[in-house]
Amino acid sequence: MIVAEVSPGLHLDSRRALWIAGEGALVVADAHWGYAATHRAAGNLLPVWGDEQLESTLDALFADHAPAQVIFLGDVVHGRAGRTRAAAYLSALALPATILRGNHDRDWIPPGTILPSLAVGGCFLHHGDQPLPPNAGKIEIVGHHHPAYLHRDGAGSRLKLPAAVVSSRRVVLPAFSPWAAGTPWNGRLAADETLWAVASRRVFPVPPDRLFSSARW
Amino acid sequence: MSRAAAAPLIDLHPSLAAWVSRRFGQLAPAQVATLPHLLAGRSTLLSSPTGSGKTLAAFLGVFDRLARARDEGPLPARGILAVYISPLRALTYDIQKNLQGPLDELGWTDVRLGVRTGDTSLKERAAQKRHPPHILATTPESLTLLLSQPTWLAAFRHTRFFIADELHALAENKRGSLLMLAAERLEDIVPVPLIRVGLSATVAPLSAMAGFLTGPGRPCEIVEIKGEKPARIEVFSPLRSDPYPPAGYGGTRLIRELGDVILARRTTLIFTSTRSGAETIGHRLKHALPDFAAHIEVHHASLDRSVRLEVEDRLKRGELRAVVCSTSLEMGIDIGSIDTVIMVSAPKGVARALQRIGRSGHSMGETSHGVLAATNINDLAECAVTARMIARRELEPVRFPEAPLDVLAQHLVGLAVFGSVTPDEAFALTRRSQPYATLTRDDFDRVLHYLQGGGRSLEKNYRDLFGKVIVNAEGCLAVPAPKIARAFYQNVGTIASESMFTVKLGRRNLGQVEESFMKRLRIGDVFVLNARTVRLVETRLLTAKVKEASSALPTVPRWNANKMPLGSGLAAEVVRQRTVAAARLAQGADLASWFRSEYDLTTPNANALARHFSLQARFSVIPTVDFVLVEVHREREVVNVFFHTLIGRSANDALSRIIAQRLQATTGGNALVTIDDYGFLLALKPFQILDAEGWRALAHRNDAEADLATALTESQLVKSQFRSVAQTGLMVPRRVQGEERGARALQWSSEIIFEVLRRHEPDHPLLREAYAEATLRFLDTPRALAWLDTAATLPWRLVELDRVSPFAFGLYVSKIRETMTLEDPETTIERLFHDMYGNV
Repeated sequence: MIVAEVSPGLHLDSRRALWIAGEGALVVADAHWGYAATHRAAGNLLPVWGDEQLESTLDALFADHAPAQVIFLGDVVHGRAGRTRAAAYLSALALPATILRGNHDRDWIPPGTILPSLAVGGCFLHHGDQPLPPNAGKIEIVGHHHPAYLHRDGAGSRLKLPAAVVSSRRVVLPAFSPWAAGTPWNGRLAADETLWAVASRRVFPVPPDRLFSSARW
Repeated sequence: MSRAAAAPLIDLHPSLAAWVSRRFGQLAPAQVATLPHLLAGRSTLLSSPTGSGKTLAAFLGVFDRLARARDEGPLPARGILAVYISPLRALTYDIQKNLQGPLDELGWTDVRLGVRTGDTSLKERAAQKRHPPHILATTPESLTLLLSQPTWLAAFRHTRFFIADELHALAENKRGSLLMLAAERLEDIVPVPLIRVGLSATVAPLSAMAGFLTGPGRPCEIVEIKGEKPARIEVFSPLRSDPYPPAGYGGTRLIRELGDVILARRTTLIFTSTRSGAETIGHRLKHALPDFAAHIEVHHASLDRSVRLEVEDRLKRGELRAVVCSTSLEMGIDIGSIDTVIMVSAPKGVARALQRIGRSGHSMGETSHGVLAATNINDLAECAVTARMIARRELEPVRFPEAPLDVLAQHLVGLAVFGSVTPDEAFALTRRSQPYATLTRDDFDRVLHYLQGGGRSLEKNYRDLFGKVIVNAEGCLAVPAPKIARAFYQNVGTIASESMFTVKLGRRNLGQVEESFMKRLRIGDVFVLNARTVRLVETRLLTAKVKEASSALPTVPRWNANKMPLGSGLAAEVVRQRTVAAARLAQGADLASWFRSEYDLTTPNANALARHFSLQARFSVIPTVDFVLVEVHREREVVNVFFHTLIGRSANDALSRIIAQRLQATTGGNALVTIDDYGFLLALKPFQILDAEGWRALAHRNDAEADLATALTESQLVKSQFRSVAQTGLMVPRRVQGEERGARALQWSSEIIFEVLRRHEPDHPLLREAYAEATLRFLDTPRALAWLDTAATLPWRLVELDRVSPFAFGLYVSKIRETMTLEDPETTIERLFHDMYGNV
């Protein structure tokens, strides 16, 4: 298990999940269940892949962290075609699950609790597609944006890694979906924010001088 | 009238023969040679210069049939007699105009001409369906679309003629594959074999083009009319005698000299290698010649259609002094009388140059006049060689795409709409077309399986796989739901267009620019479109609002670069030029006089070339046919290694990947690769540097294909090819109804689909197609492999440089770079992590 403490009490797992240690809460953003199925229903013959990956990763996270609860930070399903399978998995869960509604979850009635936002310990969680009034003194935790770190070294290396955007005010989580391509966040950081890159064997903060390639273009 | 010209007229329907005599007196040579074949019902490939009566040659056979049909009874109910296909929409309108004249003169008011393209209005489409035209002018895409609609079947039942114009422009890409599949579909409908007529520019060899037209095993007559009009070809460079002028100097002088030519002629056509180049030159010419600014226009494919049509009309009417274009006026519509064709920078191919020059002196007997304007010193060397080869008409051989699987996928959905063809029949039909003559049953079955919704990966987890094609109870291919057919109709075609932004100036559409260009712009940036400087005001979903910024300097120089690779014959000639020049320098002979006499250059230009070659010999060595030159130049933390491999950019692209892959296996690390027609550059870290023997050892022929395949597994190239293959192959349709606006939260990523297929279904047909596209069409792998064979027999010389050599400089400043990720990403991450935190 590879985990880094990105902010006091907040641990980022290399499997793109956030562990709120004090609360025993595991947070997963933008799972997008049924991504391939939704596309196929629309006539796009994407390879049938993804949901199984998603579920086995969740199972492994539950086994490793033994959370008291899991919070899905919105966009749990990608579209209508993902609902059945997502509902089946969620109903079979052995731990309490809270779903915070994301823009892709519109009109969906999932098994269990669905809320627009939730306060857990020192954190205020919501999907992030709607601006919500800041919750005084709490760290805002959102998904929605699928941030990524784009690395170029000027001599051939190019990597795009999922990333979290972290400051004392706000954490933007990487998408949990294995289909998510990620939006490069290199040039979009505020002064007080740090980009935490998530690779399968490393979770590390990107030094500010590495955000821009040294290559001549 | 000569006997030869009279003979075919005897066989022509009397009313038609009378009209020809009245109208032209006699037939043109192209018509004399073609007509007997067409009257006898034989398929024919006609290659002849523009302005030689080619179109009428093709249509006289059609007219003869019409005349005889009119004798037999009223025409209306007979359906489509002839299908005319052109790669350009503009040409279909042109042909309509050009045929209407003769029909009016013949008094055949009952003959209907129809044009069907993507632009045809709904009302017109409905009218065409009710009363199909006798002659239908269309594009490959629209023809495929019509042949995929059961309601159109009856109209094609008695079609006799299949006329493909500008066939050379279609044959070398997938639109040609699409067209020849459509021809087979048509062949399947009609009771008597089609008379296929192909009109083509000069290509080599013509027999291959004839085979492409008819398909394997069917006869085809070949008629070649050589252009008798002499061509005058000149080379000049604004460099004059200075091979390395100060920045901006050459450009300014080029504009001045172009201006001089324009003022001296009635009409000048200027070709540039890129659309943005056309814009820049058009813009600067307008400024340089303010009195003629209104008579200088720009023409390229990104401009709005109305803008292009207006330019074409004004050109035809003789109202313009100059038009600056990219490739858009290379072929097609009659553009009237052009005195001089100027190509700015080397055209990279002899056939292409000939075709461009053929646009001038556009009527029989007039001399064409072509000028090659070299923009830099390397360009001058290449232009000199090109001009010689143009004069000798040494054409490069055509290359056809072989059995593209993404087009096959479209074809099968199109067939399935009818629910009347078994898989076996579909396979046989497909193989009757030349592009698919070598298609294996295995590949065919894989594509079919994919369309049926199959994908072996984790298939069992999905109950509903949503296929596009099923095999119905009668054993025939069918579509599972009408919406599949509707979606297919929206996505016919192979042109993988990037999303385009429409640029609006007030309420007027100026044109389109690529989304990738637009994404890099900020509000307030100034760029050139339609030879106007405009400032970006705001962008919305796929539209950009701009306002005039006439006095401002453009802040964004380029917005498109699609460059052609240097042809192999040209490359060999440049090597020869270098070899001879090196020998003459070694003997102490006068190089300038040799350049002057050998290439007919001006004295200043010959002097500039001589200085350039002498400097290369002084600072490094002139690469020749006798050895392989590698130059090494150290620059802070990066080492530049230049390989002088003169095999064209597509082959260098393949070769550089093979070498970089092997380097990675030897020393680790990645490579930043820059390629051009003359060689490639690896930007490396110091730990990756080898000596001459080390490099030579990497360039062995064994397993080169496998190493290239390994290099491509992580490359952006295959991923980007995959993107267009996935669109053409209907995996991710280009147009989807009711697509959510701005739903970018989790936009589909070709990169991830690519990864998933690579891991779970490495033999997926669309993945295989993406590799084929990359290795055989985008990269010129055969030419790279041939170079490896040669290089193994040659000595290698490695030269350490303290400055970049004159011959390497073009590569050094080239902006076209691809990062080549060759090592396992995990290793790169570890290296990166160590770099960042190793010393902490």
